[in-house]
Amino acid sequence: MICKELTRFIDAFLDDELSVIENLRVQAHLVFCGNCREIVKSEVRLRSLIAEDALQDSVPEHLRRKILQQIGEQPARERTRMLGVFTFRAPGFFSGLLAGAATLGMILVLATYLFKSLPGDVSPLGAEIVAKHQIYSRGEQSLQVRSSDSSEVASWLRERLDFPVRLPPLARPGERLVGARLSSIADGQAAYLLYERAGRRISLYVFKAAPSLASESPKWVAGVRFFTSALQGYSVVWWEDQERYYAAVSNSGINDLIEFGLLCVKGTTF
Amino acid sequence: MGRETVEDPHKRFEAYVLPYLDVLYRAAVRLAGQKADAEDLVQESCLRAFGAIDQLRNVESCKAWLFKILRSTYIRQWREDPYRGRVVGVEDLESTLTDMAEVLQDPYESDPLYVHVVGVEVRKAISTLPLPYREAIVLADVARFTYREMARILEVPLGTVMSRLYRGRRMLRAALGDYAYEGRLKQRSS
Repeated sequence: MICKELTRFIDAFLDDELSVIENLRVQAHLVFCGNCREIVKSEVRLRSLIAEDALQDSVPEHLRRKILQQIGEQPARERTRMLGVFTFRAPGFFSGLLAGAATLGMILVLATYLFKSLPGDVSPLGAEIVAKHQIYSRGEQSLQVRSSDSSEVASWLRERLDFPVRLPPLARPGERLVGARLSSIADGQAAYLLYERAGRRISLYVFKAAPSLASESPKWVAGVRFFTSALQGYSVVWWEDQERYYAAVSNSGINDLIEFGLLCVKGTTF
Repeated sequence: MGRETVEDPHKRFEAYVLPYLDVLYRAAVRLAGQKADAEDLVQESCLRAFGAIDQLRNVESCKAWLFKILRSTYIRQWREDPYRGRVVGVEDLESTLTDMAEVLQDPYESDPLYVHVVGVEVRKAISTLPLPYREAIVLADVARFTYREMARILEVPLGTVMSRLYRGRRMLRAALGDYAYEGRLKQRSS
């Protein structure tokens, strides 16, 4: 990456909108380019000024009271229905400035770390999946919907994705769905789901794009073809099901993830 | 455990709209420029939100839904008030702006530009931006929406969101540069 390219990426970089791979490229450039580091610092300061100033304002108490009073005076049956256009379905949850900044910070640190330690036999896709797992599974603040009700999460995803997502039934003891968010894999739209079992967190990505998955020979289990990989102590398992690609990552081991994958595909374990 | 569904409209309003009152107000102040105008804007937006609360199908999208109402209310108020002039169309502006290459010559000073800028100047600078850029900055930096959410609120493609943010921030830098310059002068003379 050259300086000219960085200016194209700088907003998305600071707004946490780049893929991990793009982040890696920006970060790698920043390591060597003092001028661009100054630009980034200056842009960070601009955003901080706006955000810090905004946080000084709270809705005045008299306005809050007035709104509540006016709402209270309106009987439910007489409410107008004039706002038919406001049928918004976009994702609404977004963590606050601090959570955003923290996520960005984690991405930077992690991206640098993975970039330096990526072994030759691991695909960029595997690195992206592991990096995002490390970021999103640390806490629940990165999730856009937090619910253990899989039908609620499926419905939330259905309204936002261009493709349907079938969630695995939770048949294993102690396993629960934590929540979900929209994500991207190889620059394509992806659903991200976070599960927890016995204190370990499993990230599941569902995506439509077909990146090159096979870094190793496939493993056939109960008629399902799995690809496996490992990076930084994390196991990654990929499989294809009904024209969707699934990738699960965790530090719980390949066999556990294959069992999880079978749940997704067949609704049952071994 | 699933999320509880609230049916009563008053309770729905309290549960889903009230938590966003502060961020709505912050955005309104920066959109409208004046606190009195912002109060009117928030008040009317809340009433409209209450009127349409049963159309809020997914509570997870409540914040974006509210901002869409806020924006629509603001544009309507603006158009109805002859003293505010017309809403400047983005097409009026795009041709007059610098292209990407010029940003490279943007002076990012080693002396941090914003040391001399205070909050009230930031707010003032935002409120002087043309609406398409102002609302993009407010949605991104005050309300903290993602680009995809912004595209839906503004009803424009993702690329347009990015270009408005990009241009808006460059314009904001330029405006704040003037304040910073004045601030430095004041500091030197004191």
